[in-house]
Amino acid sequence: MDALFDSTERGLFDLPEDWQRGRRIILGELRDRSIWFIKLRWFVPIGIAVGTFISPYLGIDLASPGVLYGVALLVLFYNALFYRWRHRLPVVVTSKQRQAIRSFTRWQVSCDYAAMFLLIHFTGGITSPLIFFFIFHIIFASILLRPRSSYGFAALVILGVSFIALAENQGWMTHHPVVVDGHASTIYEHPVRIFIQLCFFSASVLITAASTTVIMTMLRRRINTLVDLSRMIDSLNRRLSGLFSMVQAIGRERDLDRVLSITTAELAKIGEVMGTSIKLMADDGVSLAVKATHGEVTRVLEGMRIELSRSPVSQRVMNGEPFVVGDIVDSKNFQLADRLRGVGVNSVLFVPLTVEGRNIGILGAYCSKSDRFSEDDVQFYRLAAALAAIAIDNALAYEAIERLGKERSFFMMRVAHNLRAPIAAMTSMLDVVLNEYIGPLNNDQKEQLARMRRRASGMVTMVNELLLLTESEKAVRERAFTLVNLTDLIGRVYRTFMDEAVERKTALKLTIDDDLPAVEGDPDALSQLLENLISNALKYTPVGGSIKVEAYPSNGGSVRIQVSDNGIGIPKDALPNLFNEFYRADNARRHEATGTGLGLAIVQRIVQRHGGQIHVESEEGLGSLFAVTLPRKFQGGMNDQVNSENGGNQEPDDAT
Amino acid sequence: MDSHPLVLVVDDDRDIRQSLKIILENNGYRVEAAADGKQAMKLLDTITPNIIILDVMMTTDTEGFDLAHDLRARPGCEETPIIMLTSFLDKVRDEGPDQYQHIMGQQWPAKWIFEKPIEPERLLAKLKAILED
Repeated sequence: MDALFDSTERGLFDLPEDWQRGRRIILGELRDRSIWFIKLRWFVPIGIAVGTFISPYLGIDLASPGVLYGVALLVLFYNALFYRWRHRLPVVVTSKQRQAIRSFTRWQVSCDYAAMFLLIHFTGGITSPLIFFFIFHIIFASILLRPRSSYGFAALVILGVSFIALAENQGWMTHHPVVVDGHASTIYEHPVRIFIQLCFFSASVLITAASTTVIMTMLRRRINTLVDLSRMIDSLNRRLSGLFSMVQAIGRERDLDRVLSITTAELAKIGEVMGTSIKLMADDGVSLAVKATHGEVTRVLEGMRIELSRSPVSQRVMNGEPFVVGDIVDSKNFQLADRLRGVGVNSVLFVPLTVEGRNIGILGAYCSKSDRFSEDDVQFYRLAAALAAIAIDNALAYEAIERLGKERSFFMMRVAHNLRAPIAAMTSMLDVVLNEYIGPLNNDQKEQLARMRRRASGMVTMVNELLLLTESEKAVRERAFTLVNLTDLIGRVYRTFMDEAVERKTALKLTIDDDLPAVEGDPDALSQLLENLISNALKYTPVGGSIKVEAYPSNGGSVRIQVSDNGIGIPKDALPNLFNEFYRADNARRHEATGTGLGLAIVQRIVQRHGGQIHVESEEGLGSLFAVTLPRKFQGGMNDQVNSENGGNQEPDDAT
Repeated sequence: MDSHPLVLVVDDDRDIRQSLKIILENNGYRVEAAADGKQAMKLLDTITPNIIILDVMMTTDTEGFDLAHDLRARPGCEETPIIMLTSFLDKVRDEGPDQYQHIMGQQWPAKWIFEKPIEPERLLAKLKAILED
């Protein structure tokens, strides 16, 4: 019960404020009632004093009013003491503190009984009407203390009152009669009447004790049920909240191993068990492989493979039936019992991991307590397994796609190599002939062979570009991004084109802002990007034209690299297809026969990988402008956008 | 320096071997050729080349690297300049340094690596530069 108050962890749902207060009243009852009693008791001395004061006016003659005023003062005094003590009572209850509250209550009850006996003695003993006040004292005792304690108090009351009656009757104590209109009760002269009076008084007290005990016992039971319920709802709430955060965490992950390790760790924490495991159906379809474990059980289960045909338990679970073992020693059909016991496991629970009706594996939970897993736990783990299974299935699908991409890229590498080797040999042999090492050539032969040589070089370029395009996303991601000094990189690429520009009588101008920041990226890819843009500009700018390469900081801390020319430009209808693989605009084909149509596709890929944007402006016959904006820091998102406008000047949405 | 430096060409492609031999011989080099690492090692018992040109992928994907590594340990060849040729430069660039580090130690044994096909002018210029160094 105490754990309820100690828990600071909050559940998924905010339980209403009254809910919390309700629990506190149930547990803090003793304290609250005791304090309520102190308040009530302030009226007691007032009542005694007022009663004593007005009784002469009502024709009632009290034997010793001074003593009664004294009792009033006594009650006032001890109630003041309790009133001060009340502040030290704890609000939050631990078992030790509950003891303190109980003794506080006992002191109050003892003082009250002492005061009562005094009052009864000085107001006529057995003839005092005050004896009936004991009835509500007994009721309070059973409310405040344990229900059964009212029997003890009833006995105490009966004994006390009987003793007073006997002592006064026998003259051991002075009788202080209450004289009304000159008549005092003569009960002490008739022992039988005393006896009858005592009998009926005792019967009233005992019946009160018995009935309040029955009622209070029933009430307490109800209260305990409520507390249990509240604890259950609380733990359910916490489990749900744990599940929720687990689902959130694995929903974000695409990597299977991460999904599995988060799931096992979280479920062990939420389910409060010593270990968890996830087994997944192997590719062979006949065995289960332990893919992830958490806790001590790792020592037993790690890397294990279970043949379905040899494990009836696994077969059952894979058929959709949960499996619970309360004590693994007793279970005959459980293979790993001894080894699991070795790490302290006593009870085990298995539920299937089910997605869309398929069982893809088994989720296991292990606990050191025997018979730990209830029907509720089975329900909980089934729910958890269903949620985890979705994420696992997604990660598996993603893995398959990655594998496919990798296979494709590997296949392309092989193809490229096998294509490039003969082309390399061919060009090498052409070089031998072209250089007339094996005999002179006439001009026509030379011209034809030189063309062959160029076409062969074109093939090599195409193979290289194809390779770049087929690299799998993962391979690219794994290639580490570093901080790239763009000023150096652009300068280097620019210099490699200087000769060609001179050859083509094209003015190639470079302007780099002094404050150009470094960006995070793949230097090889960025060089490739720039090479493709500049070589395109050179290719499609007729002799005598001019090309400008510019780089400067752009808004939001990004960098803008711009290559512009006054070449043949891009026709309006070609713009939407500009970045498609193998696409070449008609005027480009007419202008330059060779060309793969892969250059801009590669540029776009590289821009995307760097989380940047590319922007094209062009008008046929006037020239083109390609502007690439790269963020300084790669954000990981693929918010790539390609804006192509014809003659427009609209900027793409700012990438911050 | 010998006026006719000796070049050892190791490549499993007969056409490449032959055309490189012709190109180099026409430019004042003496050329010995081998088709794989084993042949090359055997040849090296009898000759001491001034420079070695190695293909990367021969019998195995890494034979050129392995051979370069072995050559570094072979008496008389420790300092011989090595030029590597490959038609798979991407693969070498992406996987080479890391993957072969353990074979070659921290020192990349080949100083120069070129993608095939290489223009004869570039190769000749490089050879000249290396030998004059």
